[in-house]
Amino acid sequence: MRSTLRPSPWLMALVTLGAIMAVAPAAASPQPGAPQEEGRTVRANVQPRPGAPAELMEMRVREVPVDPASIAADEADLADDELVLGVMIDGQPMAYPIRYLAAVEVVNDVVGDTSLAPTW
Amino acid sequence: MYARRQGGKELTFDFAEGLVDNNLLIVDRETDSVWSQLAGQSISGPMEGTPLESIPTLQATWGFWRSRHPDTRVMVLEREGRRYVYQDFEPGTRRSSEAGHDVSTLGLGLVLGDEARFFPLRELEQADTPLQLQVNEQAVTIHFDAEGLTAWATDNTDELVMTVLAYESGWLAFFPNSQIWTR
Repeated sequence: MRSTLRPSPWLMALVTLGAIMAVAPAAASPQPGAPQEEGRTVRANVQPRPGAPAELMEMRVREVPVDPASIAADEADLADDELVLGVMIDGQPMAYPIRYLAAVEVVNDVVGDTSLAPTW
Repeated sequence: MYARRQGGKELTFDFAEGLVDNNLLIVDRETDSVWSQLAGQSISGPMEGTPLESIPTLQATWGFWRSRHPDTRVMVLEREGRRYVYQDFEPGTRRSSEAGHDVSTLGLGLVLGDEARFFPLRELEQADTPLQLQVNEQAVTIHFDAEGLTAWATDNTDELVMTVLAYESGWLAFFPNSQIWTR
């Protein structure tokens, strides 16, 4: 179900032009997927607004779920008018209620053999 | 929605509490690189410039999604001690950061090659959908469902095309040359 129609990489590059100039933090090579220490921060040179000069910002990192549970449609306690983000992975439909995504912004999930990150 | 496997490496993302152009930033545990959600690539750190592979999604009401995919599974998040910060979030409400946004400016954003298009939902609502059109010489069908509060796009093999439901102002901040579709 992945489309062969893709946004062009150069356009995507243009979009973030000006927000570049990276400052690579001294990464401590954590174990893949290992829980992070409390109070973790990351520093990055980012452009706070279009046209504004890039600023070195230290951002707090909020840990989000890895491999969350899923249930069948019949077990879900969702109202018909509640919004979800739907995706089809190798024939398996999967729904991510927006209320959960909005609370954590991003989730690390695995559906079949595909690891994916729904974001909000 | 992004694939987490990039260049032979499986990434695990966390939320970075900063916004660039009012857009979500995420950071991966493996390299500490910072990624922009809307741009779909790393903007800082060892993986800077690396694009994420997008996975097409459809944002819709639960009723709409379930009626088309009765075998769907649904993610659930449990509170787990104090590790995750949950806001009080009721169905149908919006994030506080979006409180000032006008839902009537929501639309479907699409980029193919060097062409960006935005289809305001208020226009699609009045139009005879699905729409058949050509974007960057590729056939695209734009679908709209008022009850499902959703719009989406498919290609000529009926596969979903990568799109985003976005506010017009947010979309134009990223794609200032985007055409705004009208009937």
